[in-house]
Amino acid sequence: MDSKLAEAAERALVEATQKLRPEERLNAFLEHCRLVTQLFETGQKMRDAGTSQLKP
Amino acid sequence: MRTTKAGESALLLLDVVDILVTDNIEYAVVGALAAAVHGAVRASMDADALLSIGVQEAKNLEVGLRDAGFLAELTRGDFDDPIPGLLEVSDSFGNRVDLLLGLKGMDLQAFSRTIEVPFQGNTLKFIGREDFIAMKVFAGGPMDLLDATRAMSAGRDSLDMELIRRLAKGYGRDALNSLDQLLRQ
Repeated sequence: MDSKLAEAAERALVEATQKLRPEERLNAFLEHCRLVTQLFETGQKMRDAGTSQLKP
Repeated sequence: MRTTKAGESALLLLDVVDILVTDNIEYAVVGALAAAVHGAVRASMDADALLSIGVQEAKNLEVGLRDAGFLAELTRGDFDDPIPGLLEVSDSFGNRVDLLLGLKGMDLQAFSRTIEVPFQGNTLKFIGREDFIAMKVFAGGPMDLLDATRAMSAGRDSLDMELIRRLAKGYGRDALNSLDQLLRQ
C-alpha cells in the first residue's frame, strides 16, 4: 500500500521519539511495552475462551 | 487526561475514545495495539484507530479534541491515497493517536465485527481478526505480512477463511495474491 499520509505519520512518530533523551526513550518504550503486553495477554485469554467480548 | 509521561499512547487512545463514544462515532482500533490483541506484539509506539466518518465530521471532531485540550491536526489524503484523511492527536508528552478516516477497499461491516477488549478498567473496540489480516495483506510491507502471519497462527482453527478471502479481495488483486502466498507458507 502506497500512502503518503501513512508515510508522513510514520516519520512524525519517529521524530517525536527522537526528541526524547535516551533514558526517556527507554522508559517510554518500557511503559508502552507494559501496556501492549496487557492487551496481548487479554487477547490470548479471549482466544482461549473463544469469545469476542470480555467485561472489564 | 490519563497520560502523565511518554510511552502512554494507549492511554491517550482511551481519552480519545471517550470523546468518540460521546460523539457517537464508530471506531475500531487497528495498528500495533490491534496486532498485540491478535497475537503479534511489536514495538510501534503510537496508537491507531479507524473511524466511520467523513472529512466534514472529522473537522468537527478536530475542534472537539482541541477544546478538550489535545493537540489535533487533520490532514486530507491525495486523491490516489488509500487513506482519505488522517486526524493526528497528540499530547505534551509526545504520545500519539492516529485516527484514520477509512481505508479504500475496506468492508464497512468491519465496524460491526469489532471485538470488545477490556483495558485499564475500560473497554476498547478492536478490529476483528479477519479484518485485521485482510488489512495487513493489503498494507503489504514486511512487518505487515509478519503481523498477518502471526495473527493467523495465533488460532488458525477459529479463523473464517472465507471471510478473510472476501475482505482481501475487496482491497484488490495484490492483496488477494499476498494472502494466497501467506496461506501457502
